[in-house]
Amino acid sequence: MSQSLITSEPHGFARVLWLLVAMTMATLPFLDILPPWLTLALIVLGTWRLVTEHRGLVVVPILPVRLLLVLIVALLLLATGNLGFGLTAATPLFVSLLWSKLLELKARRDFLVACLLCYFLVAVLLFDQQSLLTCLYAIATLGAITIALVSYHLDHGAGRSFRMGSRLLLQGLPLAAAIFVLFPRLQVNFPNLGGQAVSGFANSLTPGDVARMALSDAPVMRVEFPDGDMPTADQLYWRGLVLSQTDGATWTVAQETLAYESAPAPRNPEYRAIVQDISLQPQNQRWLFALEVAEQPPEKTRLGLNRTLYRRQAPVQVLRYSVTSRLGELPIDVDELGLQLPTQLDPRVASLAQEWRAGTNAPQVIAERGMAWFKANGFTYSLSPGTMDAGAAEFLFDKRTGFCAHYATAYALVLRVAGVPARVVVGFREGERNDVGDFLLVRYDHAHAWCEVRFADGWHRFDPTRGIPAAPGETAPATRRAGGADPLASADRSPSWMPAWLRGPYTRVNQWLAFVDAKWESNIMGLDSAKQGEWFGMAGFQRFGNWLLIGLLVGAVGTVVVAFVWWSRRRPTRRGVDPVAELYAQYCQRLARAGVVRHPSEGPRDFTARAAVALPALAEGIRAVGELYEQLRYGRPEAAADGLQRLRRAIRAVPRHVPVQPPVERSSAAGRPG
Amino acid sequence: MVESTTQQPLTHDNAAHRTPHAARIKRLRPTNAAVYLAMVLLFVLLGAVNYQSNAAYLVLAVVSSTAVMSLLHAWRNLNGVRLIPGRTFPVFAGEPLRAQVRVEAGERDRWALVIDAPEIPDSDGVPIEHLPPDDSTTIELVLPGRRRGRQTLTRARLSSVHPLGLLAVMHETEATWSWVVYPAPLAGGQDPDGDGDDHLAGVRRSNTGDFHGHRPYQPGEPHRRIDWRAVARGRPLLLKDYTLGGTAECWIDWTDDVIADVEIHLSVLCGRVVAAERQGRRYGLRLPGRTIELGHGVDHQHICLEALALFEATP
Repeated sequence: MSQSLITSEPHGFARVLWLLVAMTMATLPFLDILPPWLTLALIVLGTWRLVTEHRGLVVVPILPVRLLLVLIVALLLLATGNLGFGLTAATPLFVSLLWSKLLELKARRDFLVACLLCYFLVAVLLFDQQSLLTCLYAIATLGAITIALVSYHLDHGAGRSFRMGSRLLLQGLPLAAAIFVLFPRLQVNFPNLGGQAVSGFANSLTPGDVARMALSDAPVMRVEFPDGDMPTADQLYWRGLVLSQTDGATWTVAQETLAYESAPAPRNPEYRAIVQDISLQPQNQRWLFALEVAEQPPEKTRLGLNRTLYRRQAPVQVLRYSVTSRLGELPIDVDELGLQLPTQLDPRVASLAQEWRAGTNAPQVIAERGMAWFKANGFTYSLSPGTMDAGAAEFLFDKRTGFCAHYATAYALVLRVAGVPARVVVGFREGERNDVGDFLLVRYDHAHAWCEVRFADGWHRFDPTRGIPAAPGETAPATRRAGGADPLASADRSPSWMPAWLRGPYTRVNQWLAFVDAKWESNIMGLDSAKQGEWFGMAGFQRFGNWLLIGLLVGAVGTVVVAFVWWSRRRPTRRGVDPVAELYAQYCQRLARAGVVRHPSEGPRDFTARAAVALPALAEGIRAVGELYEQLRYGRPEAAADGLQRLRRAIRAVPRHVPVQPPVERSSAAGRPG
Repeated sequence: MVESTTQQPLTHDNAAHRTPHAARIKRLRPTNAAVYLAMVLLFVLLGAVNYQSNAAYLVLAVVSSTAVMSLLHAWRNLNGVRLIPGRTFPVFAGEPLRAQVRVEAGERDRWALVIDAPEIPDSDGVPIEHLPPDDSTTIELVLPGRRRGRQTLTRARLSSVHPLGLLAVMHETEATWSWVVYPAPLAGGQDPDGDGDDHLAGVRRSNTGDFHGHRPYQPGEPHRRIDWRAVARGRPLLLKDYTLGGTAECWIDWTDDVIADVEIHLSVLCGRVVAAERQGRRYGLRLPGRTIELGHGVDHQHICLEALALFEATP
């Protein structure tokens, strides 16, 4: 055992403390993806290092043992499914590597590597997230890392490192702003390094997908209506994917959706056209959302004949687009799959279809009957209805409880069996109005699925989930929203422990945060080369492109350098000057007036001796001052406890205006004391 | 950090060589840490481009601006520091040379300075953790021993990587330290008075004689002659002086011995000078082309030893 440990040089408590602060700050945002045992290990490791540093004796395992430990952690992570390929999936490993540096903080290089790994973790965090709070937190973390780096090169206590590090960060902020604004935004597509976007809709729908999304209240889109009024709640169906193909359990997008060559002419120009400015979080999928139905697609986006919007590649960052929809317009595409049926069908479904179409062929009547059937047969809404392996039939005839995806898929299936073309549409419904910024925030728990039924004039929307009562004990978001008088009001998302009087302000503050975040994301995080062009003179930008930006960037750095040099050359403020030196300088001035001038290279001891000889009347006081000064300057610190006061008194004892003596030549008085 | 203006006949005051601006920025060199940081930043840039993440550009901007500020602060930390060469003391060949450097802070705080001699490979730097404004301190660079003669050090280097360790800023003095390096004292050859028992260098065994008295320590003098017991009692650094009784006169003559190797010959003469001085005799030195009359005392010994140190054999 003793051979597997070696004694390591302590790094100093203050240094390790600052490094731990930086490491903790860099690690905290990833806490939710770290397994609990790893978190516990990190806490133990950090505490151990701090305690041993405090005691001044650090015993660390030898290199092979350290490597073995890291290997074991990596294997454990792999075995517990906490490790994957790609940047974010490998983060737990980066974190363990970083903290394992605590076991081998020996040389200067180890400390540096730990700091660089912290920088790296901050960057990984911001690859995915860019909310204002995250960015501010990241900047604070960068500050902590800077302080840790400063402390490494300084043996002068924690306070000095903190001041220097924060000064570097704060003084750098103007330049940072300039670099951020001016740095050319390159547009290169590397192979995907595996960013971790929250998964949205895939090209298919099984009811579980919606349930999973409905558990998250993270924002998915932010919508502004530049032309003014927000549509009413029952118009807010954000259409995303159209699913036409089913095998009974899963509904999928028909391959090769045909697209319009150019935007279609409106069939009903009198209907209201509405422009939506949307910023959409990345979801690992190619579909964009718009109110039904989209008419003018955004740039680089295709408008399908079924009025869906899709891009060639899934956006990797927040995508801002502007889309025009015409409210009330119908998609009129001919969907060949509108009547496609799964190969196996429960006979009860067929008999239900017979019941719906009894005595009529009109699709509208059949669809209305279906909607009424759900309400009449005691169906309830529940986000956790349990598994339904048998698909639609089990839902329709056994469970009779479920959420939108169950209703939509079952409804479309029965209609198809009844001979009415029907399909499933997924997207979002409604949203939360932000009263501060007058925009609509759509969250993942607004995810919704509904149906479209083909009449002679086009596809009509039918939402079988509407009007279904919540199951007992359910607090499904959709139910919660539907209960209030204003369906677009912010849902109460306050934690359960919060007292009632605080809930109102809490919601209000959240609205403000969401508003500031919206401004931050659209103006600051939304900066791209087009915006840079607008800011820095379109003409020059178009002509010189990024070279203009690089020129401005160099200019900004030059300005900072010149300003700094100018600031440094100014006379320094007297604040912060050593009080002992200041007192002694006063005292030297007094003696200089009496004709005894201290030579620049003359030590205090020699000066005292010389002055005492030159001014015999004051010799006692001069010796007292000299002795005190020497103690304060060169003595042990404990000797200087009240030394400053004593020095001040001793200097006061020397008269301000000493009788002038004839100047004494330095050389004549020079001699060894003693 | 004992400061003294006392003129010592044996010392060489190099302040005469000092230039008005004793220290100038000579070089700025990025450290390895800067290279590693640049690599990390490059990686972040690749990520920012790939994910089109403005937040990652923000990290890039903040870190690189912090780095730029640290470069400026590194420059500011050393700008205006003055290095002033101090005195030197003669040593015997093989003994370490000590070069005093006075560091004046000037108008602001100085942090984490290191002073070393760039001419000497692998010389350890002397660190100064903090120097308050208008303060100064004197440090000693200890250089490996050299051969006899006049030895010089023409550069001392002040460097610091404060605050972030990304840029090493270096100042160098343009002044010169000069030492007289005596030959290493050596026993042997013809002892002028025949008592060869105490031929070895007084410096080595000087504390075997009678205690003669104390004199104040001058930086650069051999540490082993410091009266450490007195230091432990809280007294200043004092040097022990020893002497042996006797007033005999003697001549130390080049022609007393026939030694083929000039250096060994000089060493032997040197040993005799030291022994004679320690025994308190009056002695003179005869070298080819130079004669030093009888005398004794520290100054006289220096004159003799310097003559040996600078002796050049005529072909």
